Amino acid sequence: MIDNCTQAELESSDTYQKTGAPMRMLDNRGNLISEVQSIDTKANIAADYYSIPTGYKQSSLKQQVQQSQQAIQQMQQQMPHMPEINTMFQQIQQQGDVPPEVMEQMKNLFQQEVER
Amino acid sequence: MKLKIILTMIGLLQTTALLADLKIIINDAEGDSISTISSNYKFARIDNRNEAAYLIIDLKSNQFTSVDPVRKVSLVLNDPQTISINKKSGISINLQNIGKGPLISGFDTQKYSLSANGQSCQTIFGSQEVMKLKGINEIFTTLSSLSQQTSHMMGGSTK
Repeated sequence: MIDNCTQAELESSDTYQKTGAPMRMLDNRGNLISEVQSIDTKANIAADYYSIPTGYKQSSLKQQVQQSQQAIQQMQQQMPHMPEINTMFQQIQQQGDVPPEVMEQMKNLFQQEVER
Repeated sequence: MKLKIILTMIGLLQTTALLADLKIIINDAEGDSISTISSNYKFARIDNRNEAAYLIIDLKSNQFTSVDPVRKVSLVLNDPQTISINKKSGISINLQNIGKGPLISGFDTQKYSLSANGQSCQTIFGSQEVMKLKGINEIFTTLSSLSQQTSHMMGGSTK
């Protein structure tokens, strides 16, 4: 989750076509975020500078998200009382304190999970 | 902050159409160089100060890959095949031209104010002179696509 300004910057990325290339950026207090120091249009850089070195392990963010989702599903299957525990945690967050009966239920459920 | 700098750097990649490589150095408030953008117009690479990892951008396929030479791993950050969702958060974004800006690195600029829901977010000194150079649209398409995917992945605005 992100704040309004970061969201605005993400959504307004295409407005650079209106503003032009951002050469200097200041935050909302006028402090410098970044500024272009130099632009060299005649740089001589080796072609392999842009390639991923051979032998590196390759992955993608999409794959990692899928693996995380699978791990969560497996964990939920191994812990059948997890939804009930989650509901209790939500109640705690909403109420700000822990009712004794909820605490007792949680202890019992945790004990059952531990014994499994 | 890091995201802002990356967005700035990507926006600057379309500076020229010459066959030689392009190299842009970005400074922070202390005047230290914080990032270097290099491009041969097929690929671009972004290096950040104090970080071994760097970003490779395939300008044809719009694929962004993070490369970590310490762990010897590469991670594709976006899915170029994904159709842009273009889902907006509903916040009111205002970009206002507030006049002429100074000459920066030899380029004329205009001053813009970016706000969200009436809250001032940042001031941008943009150069149309830089934007007139060849290759700009490809870069902005890539930038826009990545930003929208990032926005979607991050779940939108909270307040």
